[in-house]
Amino acid sequence: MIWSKMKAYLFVAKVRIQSALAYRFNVISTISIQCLLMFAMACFWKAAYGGTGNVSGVGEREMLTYTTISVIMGNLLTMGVEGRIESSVRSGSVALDMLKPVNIYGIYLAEDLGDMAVAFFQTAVPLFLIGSALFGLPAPASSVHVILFLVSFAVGYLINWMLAALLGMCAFKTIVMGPIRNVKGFVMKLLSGSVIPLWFFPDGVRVVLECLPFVNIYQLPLGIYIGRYTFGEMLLRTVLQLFWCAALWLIFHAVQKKAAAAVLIQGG
Amino acid sequence: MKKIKYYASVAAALTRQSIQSRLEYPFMLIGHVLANCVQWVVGFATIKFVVDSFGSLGGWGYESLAFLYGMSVLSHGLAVVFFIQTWYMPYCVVEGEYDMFLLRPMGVLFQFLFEDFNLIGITDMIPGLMVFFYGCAKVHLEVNAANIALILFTLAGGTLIRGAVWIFCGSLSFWTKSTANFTDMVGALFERVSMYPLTIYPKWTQALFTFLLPLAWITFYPVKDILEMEGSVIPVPMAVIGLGVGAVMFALSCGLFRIGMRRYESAGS
Repeated sequence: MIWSKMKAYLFVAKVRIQSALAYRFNVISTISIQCLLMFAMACFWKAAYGGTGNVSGVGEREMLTYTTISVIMGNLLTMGVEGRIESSVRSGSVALDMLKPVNIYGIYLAEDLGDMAVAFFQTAVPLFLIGSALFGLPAPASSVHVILFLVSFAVGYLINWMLAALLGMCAFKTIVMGPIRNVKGFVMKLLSGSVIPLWFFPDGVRVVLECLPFVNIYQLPLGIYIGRYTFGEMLLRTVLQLFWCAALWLIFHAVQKKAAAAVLIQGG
Repeated sequence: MKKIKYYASVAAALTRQSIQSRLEYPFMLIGHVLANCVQWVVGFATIKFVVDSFGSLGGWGYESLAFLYGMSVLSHGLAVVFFIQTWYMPYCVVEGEYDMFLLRPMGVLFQFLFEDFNLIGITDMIPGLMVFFYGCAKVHLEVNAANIALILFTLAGGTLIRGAVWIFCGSLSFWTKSTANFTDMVGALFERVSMYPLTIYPKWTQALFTFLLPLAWITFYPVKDILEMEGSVIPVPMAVIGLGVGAVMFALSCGLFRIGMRRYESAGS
């Protein structure tokens, strides 16, 4: 029973992979933009450090690694679910999705995971190679750190996905999202530490932001990767991360029931 | 003369129409004001935090960076107001949307550019002005006719350069016949070159953005000149050169658009 359901989700992910492979130009342009971004950020940090050793406990080499991996993560953490819910609600096809004998959010998650699988080979691997060639290998602090990074990344992925899904569910009420999604993008970019880690922020701002869920998506895994945190600190932060993951899951569950009741099918 | 008057009246009518149609959706407008304020103000705040930690960036202090950032957001806003339609040029080519303009007795590019005066772009100007005035105060900019003129020249030049690059990229689709869109790539490029001092990049990148792809003229050189960061070798103000660069690039892009238009073949069935 569970296997047959899993097979359905795997099929959705497979279809997603196949359709993404059909657009060659998209791949080339995505890689070029990301290279540009990586190059610009690397120059930014090189200029900021300008030969000085450690700032806020992090050296230039670690910061370059942080930036390279952050750009790569950005490609893997692209969430289609918000746009997917909005367009299904607008076109009314959400009704068809709901008729299927699988959970619609399961389908949406499978689609995003399929996209991530494509992004891993199409953009993450090339970017890792290009980044290594241009700015040196973005090496982790140790192999243990890599494993912890992967775990942290996975939990971060779920947090990011649930945040995106929750935002997408607003569409059940508002039908059109307009600029809300842009706002979320900016907020995410800046508060998650994906561009500039929060340890450069003034203490008051930093403490508040570190309690929010965003920081668990980018900064925590990245900080682990470059070895910014001691093991005790890592443990504490991971507990907070898991707390957010659980809390968002509960919220997601509650909102999902309400959203299903609010479905409005437009036209016939 | 009569022709210019005619064109101006059509431009005014189209502008009025598009403003009216945008005002039909007030919440969308409010949403964009919020979105843009968050984007630019928070974006600037992070630069400030970094400079506070490190002292300076590419030889630029935080005050000058504020001014540079403000100028960049302002010319971005202006470019969005006037040229946002150009983001949809590939779509227009593939879908045959230019048919409508070709049937009318006026320049196609003129009609296309004024078809959609984008009021929403003004929402970029609000945070832009906030950061700009903040920057002006921080660098203790003297308010005099010369400085105002230089700032206006810079903004005009920057807006033209941005518009020219968009038109150029959009016109390529006359040849490629594809809806491939360069907007994201160009946007990322503009942001990186116009909001941060060019001096943070390696020499070859600086040369590239000065001569081959002269994006450094959007803000960097004119602003450096206005802030009198160093004695200029050239007797002409950089802002004037920037405007010149903008005008030339814009003219070239319009030329490319015209040549491309000859290859336009509308949409099949």
